[in-house]
Amino acid sequence: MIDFDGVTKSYRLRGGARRIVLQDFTMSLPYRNIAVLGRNGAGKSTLLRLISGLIDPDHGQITRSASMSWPIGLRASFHGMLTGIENIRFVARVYGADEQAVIDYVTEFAELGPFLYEPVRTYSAGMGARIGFGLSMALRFDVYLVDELLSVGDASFRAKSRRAFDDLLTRSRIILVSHSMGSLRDYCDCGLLVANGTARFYDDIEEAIDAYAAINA
Amino acid sequence: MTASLRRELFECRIGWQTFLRSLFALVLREARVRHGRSRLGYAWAVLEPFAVTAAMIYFFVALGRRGGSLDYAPFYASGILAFAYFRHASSFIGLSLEANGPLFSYPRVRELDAALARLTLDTITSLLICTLVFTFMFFAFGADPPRALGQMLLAYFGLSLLALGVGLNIAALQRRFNMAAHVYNMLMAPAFVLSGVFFTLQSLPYELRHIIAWNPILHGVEGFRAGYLSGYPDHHIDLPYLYFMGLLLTFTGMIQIILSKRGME
Repeated sequence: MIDFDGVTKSYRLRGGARRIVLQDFTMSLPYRNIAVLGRNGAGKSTLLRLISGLIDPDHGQITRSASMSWPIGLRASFHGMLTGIENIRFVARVYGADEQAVIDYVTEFAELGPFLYEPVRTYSAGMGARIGFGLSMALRFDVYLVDELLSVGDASFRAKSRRAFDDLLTRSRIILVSHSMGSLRDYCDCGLLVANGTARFYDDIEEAIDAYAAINA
Repeated sequence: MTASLRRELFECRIGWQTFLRSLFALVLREARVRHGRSRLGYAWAVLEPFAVTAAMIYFFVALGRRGGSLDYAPFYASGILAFAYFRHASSFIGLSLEANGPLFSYPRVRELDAALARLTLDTITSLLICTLVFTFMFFAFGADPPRALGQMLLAYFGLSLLALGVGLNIAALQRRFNMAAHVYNMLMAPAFVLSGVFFTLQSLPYELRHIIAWNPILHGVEGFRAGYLSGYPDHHIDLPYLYFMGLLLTFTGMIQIILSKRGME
C-alpha cells in the first residue's frame, strides 16, 4: 500500500543541529491497521506527514497505491478568521465532496451548534479537533492517518468517535499514532516502531508493544 | 534528489480537475478572508484603490511640470494602475505561504495553488479598478478610450507572470528569513520611481535608458500605457524581456519552494 524506497528525512533544529528521522529506509507497508509507536521526538508525526504527502523526503521515494487522508490531529488546520462552516466548506470543495452532505455530517457529529457560525479563532482546541475529526470522517479515504486524536472530548463524544471509527474500518484502514496502548490495541493489529533513524514492522501488535516497552525500560 | 525534483516540477498536478477545484476553493477563501469582514465587503476593495488612484492622478497633474493639464491624466493613470497591480499582487503572493499556514495541513493544497489563487483574486480586482478609472476619465473629462485593448492586456499579463515569479521567490525566502517580505516592501518605494510611472523610456538620455531598461516592471508599465494612449513612443518597450524574466523567476521560485519544503520538519 505504501512503499518507502531509500527514504531519508531529517530536519534542522533551531540550534543548527540536524535531527534524522529516517535514514535510507526501505519498506513496504501492508493495507492493514497499523499502530505507530515511538518515544517523544522519535519522528512519529513526521512519518505520518511523509506518508500523507504533506512533506517530501530529502532523498528516496514514497509510492502510495491508496488514497490517504491528511494527518488528522490536534494541530490547527483551520483559518481562524473564517467560521467553522466556511472552513468545512473549503475542505469539502478541495476534496471535491458534496458540500452540503459534509456540512450536515460534521454539524451532527461535532455537536457544536451555533458555534459553527462563529470564527474558528474563538474556539477552544477541543472544539477545533472535534470539527477536524468529523470532517475527516465525512470524507472518504482508503487510509486515515490519525495522530493522537482519540483522547479528545468527553466520554460520550469518545463513544461516538468509537462507533464512527468502527463503521469506517469496515471499508478503510487506519494508521494510528498514540501513546495509549489501550487505543492501539483497540484499533490496530500490527505495529511500526520508530527509533534511531529507522522503523521496524511487527506483524503482531503485542510484539510491537513489547518491543516499545523494551526500549523504554 | 534530481529525479524527484523533476517529477515535482513536471508532474505538479494529479489532474487539471483537481487543480481547478483547489484553485476555485482557494480564491473563494481568500476573497472571504480579505474582503468578507467589512460591511461593504468587496466593493470596498475596488472603491478604495479607485479613490487613492484618483487622488494620485490629481496630485501628479496639479504639481507636474506639464502645467496642470488634464490631458496628462491618462498618462499617469495607466502608469499608476499598472505599477500598483504589480506591487500589490507580488507582495500579496509573497505572504501566501506564511498567511496560509493551516492551509498546508491538506496534502491536496500545493504552495503554487495558494499563490495562483492570490494572483487570480488580485488580477480580477485590479482589472475592475482599471475599468472604473478609465470609464471615469472617459465620462468626467472626455479622455480617449483605450486604443489597443489586446496590447494592454499583453503587457498586463506580463506583469501578472512577473508578480507570480517575484512573489513565489519572496514567499520561499519568507520561510527562511522573517524579514524578506518587509525588505521587499521597502524596495518597492524606489521601484515606484524607477518603473516609468511618471516618465517615459523615450524621454531618458541614452546612457540612463540602457541601465533602467533592465527593470522588467518598467516594460510592463510602459507596454500597458502604450496600448492605452495613441501615438505613444513604444520602440524601446521589450515585452518578450518582461515575459522571459517572469518565466525565469517563476521557475526559480518554484525550485526554491520545493527546496524549502525539504528543510521543513
